Amino acid sequence: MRYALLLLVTACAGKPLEDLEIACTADSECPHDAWCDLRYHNDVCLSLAHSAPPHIAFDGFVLGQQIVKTIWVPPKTTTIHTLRLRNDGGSQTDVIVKLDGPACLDAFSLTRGDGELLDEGDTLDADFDVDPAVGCASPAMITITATASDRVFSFPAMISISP
Amino acid sequence: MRPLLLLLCLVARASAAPPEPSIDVVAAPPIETAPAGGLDPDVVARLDAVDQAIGTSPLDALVDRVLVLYESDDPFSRAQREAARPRSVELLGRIGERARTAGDLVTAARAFDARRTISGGGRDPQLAQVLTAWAERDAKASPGRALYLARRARAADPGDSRAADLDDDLGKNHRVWPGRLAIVAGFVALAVGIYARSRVSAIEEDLAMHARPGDQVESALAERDRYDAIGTGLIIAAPVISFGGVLLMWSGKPSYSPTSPAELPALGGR
Repeated sequence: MRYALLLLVTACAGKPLEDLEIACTADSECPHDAWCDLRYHNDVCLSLAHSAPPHIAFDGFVLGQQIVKTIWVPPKTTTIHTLRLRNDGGSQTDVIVKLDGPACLDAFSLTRGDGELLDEGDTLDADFDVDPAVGCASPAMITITATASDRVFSFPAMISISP
Repeated sequence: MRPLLLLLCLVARASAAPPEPSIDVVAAPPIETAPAGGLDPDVVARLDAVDQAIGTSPLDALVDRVLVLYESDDPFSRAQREAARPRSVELLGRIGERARTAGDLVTAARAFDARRTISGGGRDPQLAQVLTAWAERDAKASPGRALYLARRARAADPGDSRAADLDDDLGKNHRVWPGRLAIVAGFVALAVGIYARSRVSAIEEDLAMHARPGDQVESALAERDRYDAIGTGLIIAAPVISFGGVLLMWSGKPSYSPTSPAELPALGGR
């Protein structure tokens, strides 16, 4: 009788969502209380009760001890700068950073091509270099793309070129 | 040689002894084992007295008086039984009818039962009816006695459907079929439970194999939960139902056996 009750309680409690390993390619393919874990391409739904997907935010450019929204860069000179990203989601991730902007700006990310490890709640200072050509319009609009666990986060930013 | 001489001496001595005196005794008249006219006057007088007392004396006492001849086991009484049979049967029949009319089922049953025994144990619908009425009256209070009466009634008149029904009703386990149904239901529940659990596994495998829109996933999960609850519930309930059926059958077995009342059989020794 005791074992029967235990079995009944176990059955009523239901199987944990993680144990079901529901296949997914996006959060929209998971139950409402779950998210799709794409980090290692196991692509299964995980319960939000235990974890949450990574979420990347762009804080700004690092200038000394300050975080600024825009930076000034000299033309015809390669300079290295830093931008700060924050993982305010609910799980660790690897972030691949890309910069897209005018070709004349010649901006490239210096982070690892396979992604930088970023814990939940932590920040990543990502270096990039920029070498604006003469005549490049200023300010130049760039798009910072952070891909974390197959999730793409895009942020517009502005780089001013010194005269 | 010596033994031969000894034997000759003994023979000679015996032949020389004087003869013993004879004693003549007057014999008692032989005991009669049957009355000369077939029935003893006392028996005739007793049956006449019973005949005249029907309607005035207690009927159970009259039954006793008729049965004196059949309860006595001496040769003289036994010899008269055959001759007294027609009169006894007729008197017992009348006593039984009167007792039955008066609602005295026990005396009526005794009278008819004795009549049937005396007359050779043939079919007796009147006895069957009285015994059945008695059995019906006592069925709740004393089912063992009622079962005995019903069976005796059935023996008296195999064609009496009331007696047969009562015998079947009292002697039968009424929970056999409900119990069997419960046992079968338990196995059916187990089968359905196993099927439901297999559906759960199938849905889980399908969810793991193919990605699909979230609303379809939600729907599949709800279906899975339904099958899970049903399957698990039935698998747990199945042995309980089957075991309950066994208990039901067992509890339905009559806890009594046929018990004869003190009044029957009216002529047990004959």
